Amino acid sequence: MVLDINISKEKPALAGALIAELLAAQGHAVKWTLGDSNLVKANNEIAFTASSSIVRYVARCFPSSNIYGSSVLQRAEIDHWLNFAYGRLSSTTKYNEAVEYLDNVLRPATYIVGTSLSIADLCIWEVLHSSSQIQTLLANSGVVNVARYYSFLAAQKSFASLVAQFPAAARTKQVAAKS
Amino acid sequence: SSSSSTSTTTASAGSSLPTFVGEPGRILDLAVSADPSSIPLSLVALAEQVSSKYTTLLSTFVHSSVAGSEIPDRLQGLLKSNGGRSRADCQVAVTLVWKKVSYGPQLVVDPVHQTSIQGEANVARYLWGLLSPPDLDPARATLEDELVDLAQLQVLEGSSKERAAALRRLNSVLGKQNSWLGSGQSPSLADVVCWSAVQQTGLAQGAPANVQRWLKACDQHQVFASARGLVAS
Repeated sequence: MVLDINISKEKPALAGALIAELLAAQGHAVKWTLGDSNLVKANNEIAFTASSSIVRYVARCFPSSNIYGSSVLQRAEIDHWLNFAYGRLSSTTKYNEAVEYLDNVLRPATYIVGTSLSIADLCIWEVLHSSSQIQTLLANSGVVNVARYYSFLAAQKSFASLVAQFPAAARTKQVAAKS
Repeated sequence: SSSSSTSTTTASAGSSLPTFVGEPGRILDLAVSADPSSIPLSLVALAEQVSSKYTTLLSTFVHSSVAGSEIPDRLQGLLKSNGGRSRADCQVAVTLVWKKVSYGPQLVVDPVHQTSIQGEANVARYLWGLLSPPDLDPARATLEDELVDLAQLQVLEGSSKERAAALRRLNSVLGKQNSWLGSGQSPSLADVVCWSAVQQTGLAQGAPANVQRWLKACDQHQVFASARGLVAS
C-alpha cells in the first residue's frame, strides 16, 4: 500500500512533497498528489496536516532512510531546527535575526544536521522558499551561506521538480533594511 | 569567576550506554546553559530520572554574566549529586550553567558534531531519549511531538492569545483520553514538558477543567516531585 500525501495547491506543505519525492527516489512506497489541503492519513482516526508533523510521520514510516537522524542527539537537533523553522524563521518580526543566526550555523556546513539531508533541511528550505521577505533578504544582503544553502538544495533533483511546480515567493520591490 | 557545587552519586564503573542512545560508549557530557529568569522545570525532573537510570555526575555553576543578580541558593545548587565517586566512574555528566542566554535553555553534548539544541522542549527531548527507546508507532509518536511543540512554540514562546489556544487544545486532548497526554499509564515526555510550560507561564490558575484535573494528577506523581518544589506557589 503506497502512502499518499495530499499537498494543497494554495498553501503547499512543500516539505511533505519533498520527503515523498526523496523517499520514492530511494524506492520507498510513498508519493504525493495535489489536493485541496495538506494531509497524510495515518489511520481512520489520525491524520496530520502541519508540515512538521507530515515529515515526522513519514520519516518514521520509513526508518531505514535515517532522514530523521541516526542518534538521540541528531533527532533532538532536528526537532530544534523544526521548531526554529516554524517559530523564529517564520515570524514576520524575528525572521531577520533568525536568518542571520542560520547564516552563522551554515558557514561550515552543507546540511543543517550531520552530513546528510534530513527533514530539518526540508522544513527550513520550505520556509525560505515560501517567504517573500526572506527571498528579498537572500537576494540583497550578505547572508551568503543561507543563499548558497537554499540554491544548493533547490538544484537537487527531488527539489528541482517541485521548484518548477511551486515557484519561490516573489521578492518584494523595496530592499529589506539590513538590521 | 563562578561559584560551584559538585560531587557525584555513588557509581559503579562507567559501563557503556544502551545502543538505542546511539552514542559511543564513553561518558556523555551534557552542558546545559539556562537563564535564571525562568527555571526549566522539565530539566530538573528529567535530570533526576537520568541520574536514577545511569551513574551520573550532576553539577551547577553560576556564570559571571548573571553572578551580579541575586541567584537564590536553591538555584545555585539546582542540579547536585550528593557524595560518591569521581567523574571517571560516571556514564553521564549533566552540568547546568546559569547565564544570560537567549532562546535558552541550550544544550551541547558533542560540540564538534552538533549545533546548539535550543529550547526547553528540545533539551527535554534529548534527555527523554536517554531514558527510553523511541516510540515505534509513527502516528502516536508524531501526535506526542505536536504537544511537545505546542509547549515550546505556543506556550513558552507564545503570545497570550496563543497560550489561551494551547490551553484549549490541551483541554480537548485530555478530555478524550486517560489521565496523561501520552497514551501510556505514566507521564510521557509531553506531560513533563507541557506541565513545565504551564507552570512557568502561570497558566495553571485559570486553566480549564480537564487541565486542572491533569495538573492535580501531575502534582501527585513522583516524576514531578522535585520540580514542583521550585514552582512559585
